[in-house]
Amino acid sequence: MRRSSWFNSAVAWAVYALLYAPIAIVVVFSFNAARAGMEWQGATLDWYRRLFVNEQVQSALKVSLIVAVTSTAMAAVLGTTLALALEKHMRRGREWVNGLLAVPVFVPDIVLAVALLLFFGLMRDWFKVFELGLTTIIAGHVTFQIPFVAMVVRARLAGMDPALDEAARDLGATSWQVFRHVTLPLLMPGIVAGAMLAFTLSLDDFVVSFFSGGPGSTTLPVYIYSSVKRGVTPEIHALSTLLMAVSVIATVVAMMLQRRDVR
Amino acid sequence: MQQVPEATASRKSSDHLGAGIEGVGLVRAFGAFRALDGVSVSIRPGEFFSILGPSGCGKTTLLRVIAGLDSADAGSLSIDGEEMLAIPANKRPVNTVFQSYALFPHLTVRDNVSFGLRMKGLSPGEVAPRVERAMELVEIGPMAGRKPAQLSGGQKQRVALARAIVNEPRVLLLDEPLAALDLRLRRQLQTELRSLQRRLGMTFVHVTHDQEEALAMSDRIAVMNAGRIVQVASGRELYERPKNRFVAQFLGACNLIPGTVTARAGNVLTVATNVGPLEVRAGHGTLPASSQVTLAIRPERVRLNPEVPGRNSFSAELRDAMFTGAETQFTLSVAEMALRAVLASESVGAGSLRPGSAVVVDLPASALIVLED
Ligand SMILES: Nc1ncnc2c1ncn2[C@@H]1O[C@H](COP(=O)(O)OP(=O)(O)O)[C@@H](O)[C@H]1O
Ligand SMILES: [Mg+2]
Repeated sequence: MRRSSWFNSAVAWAVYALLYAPIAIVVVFSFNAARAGMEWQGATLDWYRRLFVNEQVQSALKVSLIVAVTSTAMAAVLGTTLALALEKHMRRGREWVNGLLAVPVFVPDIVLAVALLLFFGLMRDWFKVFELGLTTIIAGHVTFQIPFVAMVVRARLAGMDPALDEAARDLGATSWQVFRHVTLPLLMPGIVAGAMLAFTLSLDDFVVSFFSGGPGSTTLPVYIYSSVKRGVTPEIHALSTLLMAVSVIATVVAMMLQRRDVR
Repeated sequence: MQQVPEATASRKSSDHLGAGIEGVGLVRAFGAFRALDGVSVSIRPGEFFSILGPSGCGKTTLLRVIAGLDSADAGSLSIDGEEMLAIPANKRPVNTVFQSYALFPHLTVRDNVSFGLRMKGLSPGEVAPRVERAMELVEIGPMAGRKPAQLSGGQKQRVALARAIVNEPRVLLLDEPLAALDLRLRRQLQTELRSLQRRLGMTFVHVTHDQEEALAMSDRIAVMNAGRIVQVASGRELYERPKNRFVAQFLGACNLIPGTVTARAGNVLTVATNVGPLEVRAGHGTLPASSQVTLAIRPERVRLNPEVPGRNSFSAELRDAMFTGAETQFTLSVAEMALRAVLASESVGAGSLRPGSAVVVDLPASALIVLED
């Protein structure tokens, strides 16, 4: 009994080490004074400092933030609307739509990216907005964000007491007032949690941004990819570390929000 | 709950009388199952009306139809003479205290209570004093800033009550409001609810499956079974003159004696039963000779060893005696039939009523009830 539990925890630690070692190395080397190589030459914040004066990084950061903020806002509204429609109005075929909702989550990014590219290409013949660039990246991101938002919001909706709705109506609230004063405030932690997830997904996305982007719409991950082709520098480590920190924080906040009780 | 100054109380009851409710042939079906199977009920303005019945008989459904939270498939419903079925829940002059309380978890007690007034668009200046008064009335003033999760069951119940009455509805619907509370608190709140209703003058429609609660609180009670209303009467009348077996047995213990009518002389029926021939006062309705009837008698109306035996006196054997404090319960057998009797313990002499002893049992004609089925 003792022995096997000791063994189990050893395995667990080994798996964790395997998972986190590469990430840890990136973080550690983002503080290494050496310009190249794996030798430790003392700690420095130089690489971080340089990021802030690198114009290409600045412009990629700007694109990433514009894309992430815009797409997240759109996905939050659309995903919430979808969740509400599924939970409250759709009686028949709910299981089906539910299943369909999960499909984009499991479809490989590359497949989605190619499909979007194809779609944008077709639409371009009629609508100029589908010229590859910022707009198409945002549209692509919204596509994969919606299911995540909808699923998180639905989970919260499902845990909500339907009597609250009725109590509000009984107290004289119109449908809009019920939504505005009861449903929406109760859903808010779920919507924010879903939006946080969507935000990190957008910020971290490479494949869709790479395929749907055009000149002048380079996001941070795409910038990192093109720089790495010229060689991995400590600056890239620093940039990756920052990106990761933002994602981790957003994910933790989202998880904390989701755990908050509905009742 | 707080004592309201006399002036306020009388002003309230004069310009805020409750409304009457008239339901006719209400039906609510879920698929093939009829939760309401033709309910007709007439509730008087300002009365404390209880709907009593076993779990699943349709009480909540009836309340929801009155509130407008559920629709009726047939029938009509009017409040104060105004047809209601086409009017949505938020426009009816009715508020509900829900079985689960359904307090808004994201709002403080004060914001829960003010919800209805705010939704109606009253100014903060008008809302605040009414909310304070309602919270005072049910003694939750000190909890005004708390969230529902920080309240006990009894406190939640009071908040739910304040949230409803602050709107001064013509009718207040209460769905088993006390069912989730422990016995002591339940008894206390029964008294408080009753006096609150008297003071406010609203019509209270109160749903319960607890017969003692219904008897203790109500002006009138509707006994419900399987989607229908069986009998509507005051508690005393229901207890003393139940219409059928269901009502007789649902409200307290009852001896049921089946028999056949053998003769009728004016107001007196003679019924042949296993116990022997019984003389009974004929109730409403005509019962020709040889019709089958069931007679009912409450255990506390059965007399043992009467000083002067009557026409309905028989010799019996005492099978069992059980002392339960203030009362002693007896099981007797009269010609193979088991009867129950209850006597005040102090009136039971020591030694005379022992299991196995022979007794004379008397079933007074005035205590025997002729049931419809
Ligand atoms: N939405 C519904 N769908 C199907 N059956 C229901 C629904 N609501 C109530 N019922 C059924 O109607 C009957 C009466 O329910 P209810 O009015 O809640 O009973 P009570 O409040 O007297 O316990 C029950 O048998 C219940 O199962
Ligand atoms: Mg019920």
